[in-house]
Amino acid sequence: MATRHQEVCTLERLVVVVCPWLEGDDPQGSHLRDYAQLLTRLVSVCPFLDPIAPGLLTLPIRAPLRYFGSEDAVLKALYEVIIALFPEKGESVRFGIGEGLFAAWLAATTTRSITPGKTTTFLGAQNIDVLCPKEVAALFHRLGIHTLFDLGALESGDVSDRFGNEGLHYQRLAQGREGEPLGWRVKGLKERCATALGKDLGLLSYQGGFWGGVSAKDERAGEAFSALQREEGIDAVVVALLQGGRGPADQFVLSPWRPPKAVIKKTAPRASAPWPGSVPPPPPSRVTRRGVRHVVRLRDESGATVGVSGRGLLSGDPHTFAIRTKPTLFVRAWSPAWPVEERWWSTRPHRVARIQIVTEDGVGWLLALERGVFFVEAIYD
Amino acid sequence: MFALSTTTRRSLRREGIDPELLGALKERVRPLAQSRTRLLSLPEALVDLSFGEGLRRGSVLGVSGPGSLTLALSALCAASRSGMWCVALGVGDLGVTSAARLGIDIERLAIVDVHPKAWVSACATVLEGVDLLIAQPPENLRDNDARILLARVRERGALMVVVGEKKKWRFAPDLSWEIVSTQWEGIGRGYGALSARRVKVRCWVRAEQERAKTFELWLPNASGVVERV
Repeated sequence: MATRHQEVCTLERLVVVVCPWLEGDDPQGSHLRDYAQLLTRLVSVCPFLDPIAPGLLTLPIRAPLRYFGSEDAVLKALYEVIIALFPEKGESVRFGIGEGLFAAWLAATTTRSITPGKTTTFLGAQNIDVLCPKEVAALFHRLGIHTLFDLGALESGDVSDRFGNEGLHYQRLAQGREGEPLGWRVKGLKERCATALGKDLGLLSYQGGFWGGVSAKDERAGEAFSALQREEGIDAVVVALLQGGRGPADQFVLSPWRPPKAVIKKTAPRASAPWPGSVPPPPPSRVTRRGVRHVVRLRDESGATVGVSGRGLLSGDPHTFAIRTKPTLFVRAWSPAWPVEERWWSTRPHRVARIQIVTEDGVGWLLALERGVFFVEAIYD
Repeated sequence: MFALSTTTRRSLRREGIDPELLGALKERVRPLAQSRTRLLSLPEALVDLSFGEGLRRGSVLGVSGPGSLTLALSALCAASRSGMWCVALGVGDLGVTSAARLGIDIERLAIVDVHPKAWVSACATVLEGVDLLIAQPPENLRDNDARILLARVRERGALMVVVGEKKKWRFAPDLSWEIVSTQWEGIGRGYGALSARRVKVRCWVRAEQERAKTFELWLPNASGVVERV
């Protein structure tokens, strides 16, 4: 199964910033304060900072890359912000660029930047010691598994049988299918930083439960929601929780709104964790709910229905796009179909291929192919 | 300069109060008082689209064209982050991941999905308690119902963002944003994937459509957020 390593890593390309002098807790909490200070300064380079743990943070390279022009220029900008705040630490700070947190972090200790598209190869060449605790690594070595490539090449079923979920997690990290090692992320770090500074950090991302408590606004909204649920049923008002998942519909769960007292504070289970084969960003603004099917007929120029072969190739160039009851539209652009094996853990996986389409009116569509029929999975409205 | 009627001036003089001073004072206090209570902040990229004003409470913003839902969500993200509840009504297929990515606080986002016949009453109920509303009206919304809802928006100081086909909401919104052209980046004929969308938005205030201005936006850019081109 060595072919897995030929796959291009689909994780987001990240910059990892390591500031060793801020790692760990200190009694006065000055590490946390300095770290929070650093975050507020780095926002000027990129607002999408992701604080992982004190002394460790990541940011997606795509946006700043467009602005600064090159990876070196992005790193230079980051470096300047850091030494402006910590003038003596120019030697200690380390940067790494690669797909996913784990690879980028490894790069920070070695080559600095992994060539785009080479992350799986880079990971494969690493010694198993970098991946897991000593005792687990020793066990792998005894079994003849010395590199991440060796681990990645095993059948995932075998790994699961012998090492359980933890083993599977290591394997997926080794393959570059998962980017964030379990246990690295310090929970509630953003909130703690904000508390340490006494202000919001100004980071752009999902901040859960920052205000805590129930405000007057919450109460007023709650009364309206309760009234609506009495009139229209409990499902009339739903709220969402983000979670990991491949398909757009798998990335959040909806549940009926409940009055705050009944709410058990939940944290979204690793919403940012990358999922292999998932739909690339940006996320679509409309996602067809489960159980709803809007069938789409794609036809090529000759009028023949377009399908997808077993190897994921389209049978023709999509020319027209038709949803029943709506006028037929011309297709302006389309992505290659990418096959996705949905529910790989279930005993009866069903194969799904996905394709993105732009119609003449400028609307972007995500279509899914299931049992020979395309249907609307999401709309980029 | 300041609007005090002659009778008011006369009665103020009788009380020994200088009407000029009171008027001047009123003038100085008003912008402050109003900016705090009447204006909702917009993300930087969209400020010009409101003619520099921000979004007024008690008003309707109409957003139409392909990409209108993304633009509506972006418009509300700053206000949403200030602790206000946001409801999506009639948008049962809202992509929550996208909303979160665009900056909506999903801890204070509710999706209200009711039968089209119950849309009007649901809208009225929501406006009782919620400040930010993204509303996609059903087919055949009656003018009378729309008028009642509009009055409630004004009275409650809510912000209603109407998305979907323009003709479903027949009153001229206080502010209109119409996406008039769309260009997707990253995708071609058989290659790539949707990555960023460049749009032109025509914006005008109330009935002044002939004085519309056009702005170009990334909706979203390659990082998934809205940005001026």
